[in-house]
Amino acid sequence: MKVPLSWLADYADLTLPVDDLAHRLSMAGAEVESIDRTGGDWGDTVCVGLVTALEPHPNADRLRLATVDYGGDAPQTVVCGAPNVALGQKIAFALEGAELIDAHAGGTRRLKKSKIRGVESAGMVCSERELGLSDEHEGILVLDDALTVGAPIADILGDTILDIAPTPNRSDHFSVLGIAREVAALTAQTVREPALDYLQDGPPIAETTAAQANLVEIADPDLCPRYVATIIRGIQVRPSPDWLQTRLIAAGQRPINNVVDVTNFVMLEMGQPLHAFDYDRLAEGRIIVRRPRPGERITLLDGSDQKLAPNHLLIADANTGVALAGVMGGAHSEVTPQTTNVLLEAANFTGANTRRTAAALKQRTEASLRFEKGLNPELAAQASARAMRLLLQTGGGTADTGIVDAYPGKQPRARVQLTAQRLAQIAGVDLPTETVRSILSGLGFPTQWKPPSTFIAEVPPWRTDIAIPDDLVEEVLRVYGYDNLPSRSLSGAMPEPTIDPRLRLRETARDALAALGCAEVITYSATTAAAQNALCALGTSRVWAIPLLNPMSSQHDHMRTSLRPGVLASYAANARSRSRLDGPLQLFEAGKVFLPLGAAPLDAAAAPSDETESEAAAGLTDGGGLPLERLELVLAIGGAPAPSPHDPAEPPPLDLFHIKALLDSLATTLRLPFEYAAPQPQAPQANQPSDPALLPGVCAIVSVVQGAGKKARRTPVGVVGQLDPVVAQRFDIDGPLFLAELDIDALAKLEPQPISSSTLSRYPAVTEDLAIVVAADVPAAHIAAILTRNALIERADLFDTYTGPQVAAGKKSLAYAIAYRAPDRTLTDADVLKLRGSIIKQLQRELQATIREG
Amino acid sequence: MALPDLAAIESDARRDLAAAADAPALDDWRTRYLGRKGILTALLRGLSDLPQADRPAIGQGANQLKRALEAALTERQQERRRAETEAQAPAATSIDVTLPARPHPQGQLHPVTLTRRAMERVFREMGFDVVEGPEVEWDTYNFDRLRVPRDHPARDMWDTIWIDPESPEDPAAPLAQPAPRRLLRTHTSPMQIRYLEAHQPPIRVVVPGTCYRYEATDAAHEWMLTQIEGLVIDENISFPHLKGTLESFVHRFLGPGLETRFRCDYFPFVEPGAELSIRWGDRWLEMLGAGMVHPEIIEAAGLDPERYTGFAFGMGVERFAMLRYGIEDIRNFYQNDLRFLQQFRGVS
Repeated sequence: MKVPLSWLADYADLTLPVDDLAHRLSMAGAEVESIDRTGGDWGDTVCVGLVTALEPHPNADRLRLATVDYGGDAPQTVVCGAPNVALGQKIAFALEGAELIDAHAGGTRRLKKSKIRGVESAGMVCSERELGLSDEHEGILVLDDALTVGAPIADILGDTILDIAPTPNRSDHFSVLGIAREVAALTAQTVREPALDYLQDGPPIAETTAAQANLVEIADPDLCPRYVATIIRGIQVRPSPDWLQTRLIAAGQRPINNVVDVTNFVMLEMGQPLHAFDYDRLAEGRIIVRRPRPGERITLLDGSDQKLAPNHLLIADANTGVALAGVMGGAHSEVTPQTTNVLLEAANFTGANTRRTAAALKQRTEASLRFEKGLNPELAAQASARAMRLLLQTGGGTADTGIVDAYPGKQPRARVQLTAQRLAQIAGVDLPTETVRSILSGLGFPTQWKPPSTFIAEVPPWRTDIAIPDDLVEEVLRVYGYDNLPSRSLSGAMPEPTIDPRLRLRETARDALAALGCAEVITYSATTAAAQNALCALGTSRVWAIPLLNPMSSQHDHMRTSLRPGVLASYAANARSRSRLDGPLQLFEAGKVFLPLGAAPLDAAAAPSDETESEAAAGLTDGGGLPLERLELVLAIGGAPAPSPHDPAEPPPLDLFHIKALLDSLATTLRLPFEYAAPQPQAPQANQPSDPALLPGVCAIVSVVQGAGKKARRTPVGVVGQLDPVVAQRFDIDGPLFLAELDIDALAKLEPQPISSSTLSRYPAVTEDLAIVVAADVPAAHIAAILTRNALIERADLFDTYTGPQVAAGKKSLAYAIAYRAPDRTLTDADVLKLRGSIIKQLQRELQATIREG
Repeated sequence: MALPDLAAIESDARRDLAAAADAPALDDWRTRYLGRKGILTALLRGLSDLPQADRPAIGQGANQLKRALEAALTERQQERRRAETEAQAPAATSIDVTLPARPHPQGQLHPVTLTRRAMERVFREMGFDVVEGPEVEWDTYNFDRLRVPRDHPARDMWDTIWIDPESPEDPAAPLAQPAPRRLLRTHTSPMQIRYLEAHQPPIRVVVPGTCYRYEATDAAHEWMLTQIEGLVIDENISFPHLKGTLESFVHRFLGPGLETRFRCDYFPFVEPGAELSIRWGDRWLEMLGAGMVHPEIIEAAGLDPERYTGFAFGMGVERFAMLRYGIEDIRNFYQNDLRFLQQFRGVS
């Protein structure tokens, strides 16, 4: 809302410097976003001049030479082409160097000395357009005779415009008068209300037409609480007078003609949108406020043809729609230069419906923006009178006597009671009764004090936002000044903190991975269905993602069901800007995935390639509820350690056992021991890899093991492996990438291993190496499990694996360093011999293992 | 018996020690002078053969000499070891300590994580609970129950990314309450309602979380953002508590003595409403919205609004991070360029 200070000053005395005024308004809730000064560029270069001589130009008939006294050392003689320049005029005189509007080139231009038809001219007598005041350029701007020669024009014609961003609750702040009321309240001034009386010397306004129908009929009073109609006859439609045009331009509106300009002026002045109809174009001269008929359309003033819905509201004549209520007038009954009789509409339309209509038709106008905030119907009659006064003043004609006032939604004036106790409860301090009353009265709330403790405030019609006592508390405090209230610390009981193991685990995992040399990324929560499908080396994704109705871009049109696309894209982007000197790339994200509840999985085999079609074909629904928001963690590593001057050999690239090392460190931190197992082929599709993004042979299911021996419980918590090169290529990733994915929700449900200290054995350990030969496909974990389940084996560390001529074909040899130790005695050679025998027997029985001697 | 000449013994011993060139020679020397059958041991054993009057002086002198020779031996042995080490590995004794370290990957947390945690920490110190909530929300929680019904102009304050389409209007009941729709939450404020559904006063909670806006991206705007919501409800909570709590937060997070001010602002779920600005250099920056919890929200939670009052606030994590670390473009956060992220190594 642009509020020119010159206009504002019509209703309230401006007693503060503009910056202070803007600050007070902002602090009280009417935020001044900027202060713009017109004429600010002029400085001292444009000033009041007096035309002291006028001669014909020697070489041009239409030009003249004007000698201007501008208060300088000597008068200047300049070339002037304006027909209206005359001897003795006070004019706006621009000196060399002045910044003026250049209407031909656009923007501003610095005035330079130049020769016009052989006569040198340094200054210029200005038109309104050159000064940026209006589009007027037929003649020069003639100033008031009383002005002093040499005075800067900026002081006379310059204006300051406050650009105010009203909050949506303050419909009154969408008007200059509303801001003036605010200014008056903040500076203890009184508002000068605009004059509303006008001469009504025409015949009485006919309440009914010749056909005995009402002039105004509200068929749908639920959407139109009031409709005031007035009529003016014999008006002249013509350009508005200067003062009106200047006001509109300063407020950012383009002048059109006096009738349209007056309706716009009153809307800006009082906040009530108005509409003027060419009365003679209304069929039967009637106004009917009704919902559209099925299939009804209307052509609006902007030329657009709108198809109407049953919940929109039309202003119609006897036949057809003539305006879209509260939004825009229709083309058919538009006021034109030929119009002589005008019906002026000052109506009230409900906010919600106006808003919905304007949004649906994409026609959010100055009028609809005001109606949707909620206007008081009382305002309609005042605005009607104000506009009639200005129409008569600017266009002549005769006003019918009286008004037609259809007012089905009349409400009694609201009163709100506020107790001193409530005020103190919210304010935290006691404010003097007189202070409270004077603040409320100043804001236009006639307020009574009812002892012992109640303020009774009458709500002024322009304040549609005040309904409860706390609304009055805000009124008092915002004028009193929030900054004048004290500050206090919280005291009293503190709440019991919520323990959320998921969040705790997420943060612990983040810290652990960062400490292990991994970089945390946070990627967008929305991705594409294509990225989702790109994760499957074969076929399409079996997970259904929630589509967004109005995504920000096609790159983010589905909620992610996996963190992988985001992390892989980050990996690829960062890999491009790295060199081998930067070392390995290790990224992770811990965040939410959004899994629709009750979604039917997409049948990969039957799915056509087009995602949307397949959803429809499968009759998919996500159940319509909120999705499961699961916390997951994805870690991606690749590349090689940076070369070092201390190690001559180029370090080998990272492999699966690097990422396992990171996971094991994480597991140690979480006290949730991880176990890795190759995925079991799933019947019936025997070759289906368990994770569609990972290489089937370099992939492990990660489980947490709790308990030991037969009671051990294994909970799958994720997967680790090498990204399938097919998938890597789709994400633009070169070289092997190892990826781990963990379900934080599943991890958080598990009880971390308790820490319990045991006494260290005082007896020595016996150590020996044992090379165990097994079939090549026996997992090392099976051997380790047998070795470590013996209580007297303190540790068994694998230090070598071997396949080759020394062992039979199809076999491998795994060498373990085994430490035997008892808690209560020194083990003898005989003890160790017996233990070894028992282990070997177990290995033979369970894994068909043999021991490699030597 | 003649008195032993301690000075002569010492001078012999020191001469021989200096001459001992290797470990076996040093060992021989130790045996000769300090061993069980060595010169000094024999001397001390023979003290009883000396005249009574000379015993203390000689005994004391011999013991001193023994300690001195032991010390000399230790020193000589260390010298020898150093000499041997130098002889064996000359490079190891003069390392260029300015050579770079062996490469070791350095990790770091994302600046949003760091900032969110630092903000959370301040509120925990002030006794606040910390919870999180769903990012896909019902419009009822995101709007209606926060006093922003459908077709309310305040909905313009939050441009929304929707999941469900608007249900077609029932011609029979055009203004009837429509079916709830899912959306990406535009703010963390719906958690005010959810937290109130599960908790009784005293309530003192902050809710960090990701929010989404249908908003074109530029240096100051992102469509995905992180907010921290705050809610305090108890008996005797007044506007000065709102001021004191938020001023304290700003001072602890951005620096003590930072100038703050509160102006009136509008959010449908608070009354009175406020906005906090801070003075940053020569500018006032709007940092967060706040206000006293609207009595209808308190009443809807089943609490007596005349007994319980409270305040709520909401702030952007990225905005505070930008201020604290001098980040100029909000788009940096979710582009995840390591060259940007690595600037936050070690920050907490």
